[in-house]
Amino acid sequence: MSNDNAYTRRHFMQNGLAMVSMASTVPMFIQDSALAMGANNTNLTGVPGDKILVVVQLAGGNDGLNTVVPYGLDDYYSLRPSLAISGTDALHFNDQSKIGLNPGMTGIRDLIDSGLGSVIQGVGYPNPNRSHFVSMDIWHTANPKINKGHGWLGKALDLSAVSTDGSIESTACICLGKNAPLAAQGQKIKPIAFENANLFKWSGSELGSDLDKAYEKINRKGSTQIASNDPLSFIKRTSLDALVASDQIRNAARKGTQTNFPSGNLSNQLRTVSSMIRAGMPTRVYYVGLGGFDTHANQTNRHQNLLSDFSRGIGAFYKELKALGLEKNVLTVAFSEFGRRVKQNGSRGTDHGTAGPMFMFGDMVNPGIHGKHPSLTKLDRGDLVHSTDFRSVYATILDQWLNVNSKTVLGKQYKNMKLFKKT
Amino acid sequence: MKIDTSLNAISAKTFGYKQAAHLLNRAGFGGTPQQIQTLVSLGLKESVDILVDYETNSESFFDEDTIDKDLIRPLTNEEQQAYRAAKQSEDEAAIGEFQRARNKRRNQDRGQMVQIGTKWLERMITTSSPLEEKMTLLWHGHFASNYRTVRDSYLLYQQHQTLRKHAVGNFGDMVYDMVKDPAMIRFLDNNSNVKGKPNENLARELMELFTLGVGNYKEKDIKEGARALTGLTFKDNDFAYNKRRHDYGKKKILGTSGNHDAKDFVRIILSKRTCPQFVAFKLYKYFIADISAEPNVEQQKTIDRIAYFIRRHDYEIKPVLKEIFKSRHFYDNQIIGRQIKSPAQLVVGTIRKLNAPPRDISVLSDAMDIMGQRLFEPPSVKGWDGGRSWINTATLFTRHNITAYIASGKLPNNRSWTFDDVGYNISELSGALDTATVSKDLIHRLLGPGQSDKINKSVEDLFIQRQSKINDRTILAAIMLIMTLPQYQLI
Repeated sequence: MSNDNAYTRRHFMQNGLAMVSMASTVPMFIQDSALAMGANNTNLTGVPGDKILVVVQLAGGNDGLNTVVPYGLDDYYSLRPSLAISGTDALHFNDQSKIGLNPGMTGIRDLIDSGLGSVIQGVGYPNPNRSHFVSMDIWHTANPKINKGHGWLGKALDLSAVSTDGSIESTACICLGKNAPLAAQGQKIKPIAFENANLFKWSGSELGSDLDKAYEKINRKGSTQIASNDPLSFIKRTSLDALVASDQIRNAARKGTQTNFPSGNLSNQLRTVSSMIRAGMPTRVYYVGLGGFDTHANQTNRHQNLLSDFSRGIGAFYKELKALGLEKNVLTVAFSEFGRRVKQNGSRGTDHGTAGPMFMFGDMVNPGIHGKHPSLTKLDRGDLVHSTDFRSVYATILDQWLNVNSKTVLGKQYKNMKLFKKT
Repeated sequence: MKIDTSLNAISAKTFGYKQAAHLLNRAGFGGTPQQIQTLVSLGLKESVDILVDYETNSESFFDEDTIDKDLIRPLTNEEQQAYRAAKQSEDEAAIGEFQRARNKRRNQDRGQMVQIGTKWLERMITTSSPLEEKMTLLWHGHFASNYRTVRDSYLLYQQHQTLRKHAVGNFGDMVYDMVKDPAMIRFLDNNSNVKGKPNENLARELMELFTLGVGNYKEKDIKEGARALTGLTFKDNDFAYNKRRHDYGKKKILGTSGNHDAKDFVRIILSKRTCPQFVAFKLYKYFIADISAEPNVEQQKTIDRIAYFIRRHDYEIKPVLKEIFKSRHFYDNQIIGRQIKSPAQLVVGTIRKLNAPPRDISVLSDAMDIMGQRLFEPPSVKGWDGGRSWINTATLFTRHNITAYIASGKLPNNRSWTFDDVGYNISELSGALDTATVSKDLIHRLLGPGQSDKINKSVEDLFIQRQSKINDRTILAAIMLIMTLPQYQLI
């Protein structure tokens, strides 16, 4: 339990929340937090240390070479005659590097140029696996031997979001999507997952509004104490916690954002996240995702559209966070399970490959470009050789942002990188 | 009241409706009042016999003709040559083609695994031998291997069939077969356990998680045990013994010296007193009561007694189960209705108690996944933790909502649902004409007898709110409400 640093107990609930029914029975995870109501609502995060992590999963294997474009390398153009992005089309950074971004990524380029973002090049792991599922599991567990069922974020939260008396922060991790990813599964911490915050509740009441009342009467009766030998009190307590979490989440999602978000799959998810952050949810980790990166054929337009959704979403997210004054408090990390083959295939697409870039956003990020761009000549069976192990990135985030010992989580000490600004 | 720790049988006349319902809940997935009545009239001994001496479902739950055993297979010689040639000539198109084909097969195999899991769930719902499924599920979580790691649906199907074969047979035989099981060998890396370069994974888990429990062996025993398991591997879908890779040297395992091989290793393990003790603990947790950490004094007493039966019956499981299912401890009031339902128990039990149609089974198995129990995907070699770990803020609404779906046929947010989609005769669930009795009937069916007046009232209030009209709509609403009572999470 490493949060001996000040627990910032600011209020995390907005006015008008269904507090009346909670007043007598305060659920476990807010028992010892201030329930200050009615104060104004600026610049609050509601999480310990005011540090929030947002993970963006780009699923399907994002083509790294057409995302972070090495327009200074001739080999790039000879290996990808009809796919390579020209130096004029690629978005340039302020610096003189011969590295640019996909033309769809203006929002992200601007963030990086304004010191709020970074690229980590050539991230991967030894003996790369080219199966979507296996490689994704490896990224999620941070363990190439994947028969252990817990994820790196879940393990981190097991260490930080479970207090010594065993009580668990029930909204420590929220995932937007039908299923919670393996990355977020801890032994004790179980992430909350929903596609639509409004569906995070009992669905039976859809058959009659009077049912809701009866349901509430039954399930809001949690006791403050859980007897170790009484499963019923444990279930009642969990029901109460779940109902309160549901109120919190649905109200927070309804709160809306201060600025406008563009349309788009990822934008929508990040809007919901913004709204929850703005409402002061005590959530430490949010997990969002964008799929469709498996571009085996005719990839140019499709890939650019996906990156544009990614970029516009991130751009809008940080615009909102700046408006809230929270760009220092929210770190966003984006990854994909692998990059793609260097040489294009016969159908103007690319096949499964290995290393790829990661992105980080937020005011705490040491901006610019990190790591070495992988060589396009020294390939391993046609694939890039990674220059940065993703577990070094995780270790840096765990040690320096989540304040959790990375060695405990990853089972081994990985080198910390200079990904954050010096404080 | 002090809990009765005796494993002596209850008297025949003590076996009433409450006891029969409990038996069917624990040895199966529960049933309708009619089914429970049938057990009452059969009496204790015969009820237990019928459940335990089940007729094995001779038909596989999965049509073996439709299974593709070789979606995942080693390359043929020609394929290997072609691939090598493509790599040598750096023929990217051919390599890409090859990898696409392999990915396609992997995807198909993933689909096949989902299908096999779905079929198994369907069997749990429809079987007339529920204990067979419950025991197979117990061993699936005990000798846990997951698809995430094994990545070969046919190997896991084979393992499943082996566990099913031994489900109430001999535990020792099952251990022998598991050590030779291709999915297990692959899951725990024994295919790379060879003379001179031992891999200890299988040897360790064999003792720690399958037979003895942590603390009942030394690290040295793992090292020596791993040597005894060298050479056990598999070829394509079958077990193979690579004699040249076996270490024939002398080993000392758990105090016994000799030129042990795998069989000797297992025999030595089975001869240890801690092994029946460990199996007894597992049976206790599965059939009698949730234990979060260590058993308390009373529980330990009963576990010791079960271990004694296991020893006396030479690891035969059937007679031990019969002792448990007739025992005074099993029917103690502090045992009944105090175990947290696993997702399988919740889903299958709800359908069986309501006599509802099985709905869309893939929805059910997806919900089980969200609730933490996808078949063929136990989270690790430790299996499922069970008990309180099933229930948390993230799973509770799914637990409530999946039962609402089973009762109504309506998925959350489905606006096109109509009452016709319910698909079974709701008014048959209670023939009563007054709201108090209807409420009681529904509670009796879903929670069992002897529920408090408070619970009855919380349901009857719903009818009263609706002007005491007894119609299908309100009955359905009451069912859905009852299934959100904390008591419904328990059996």
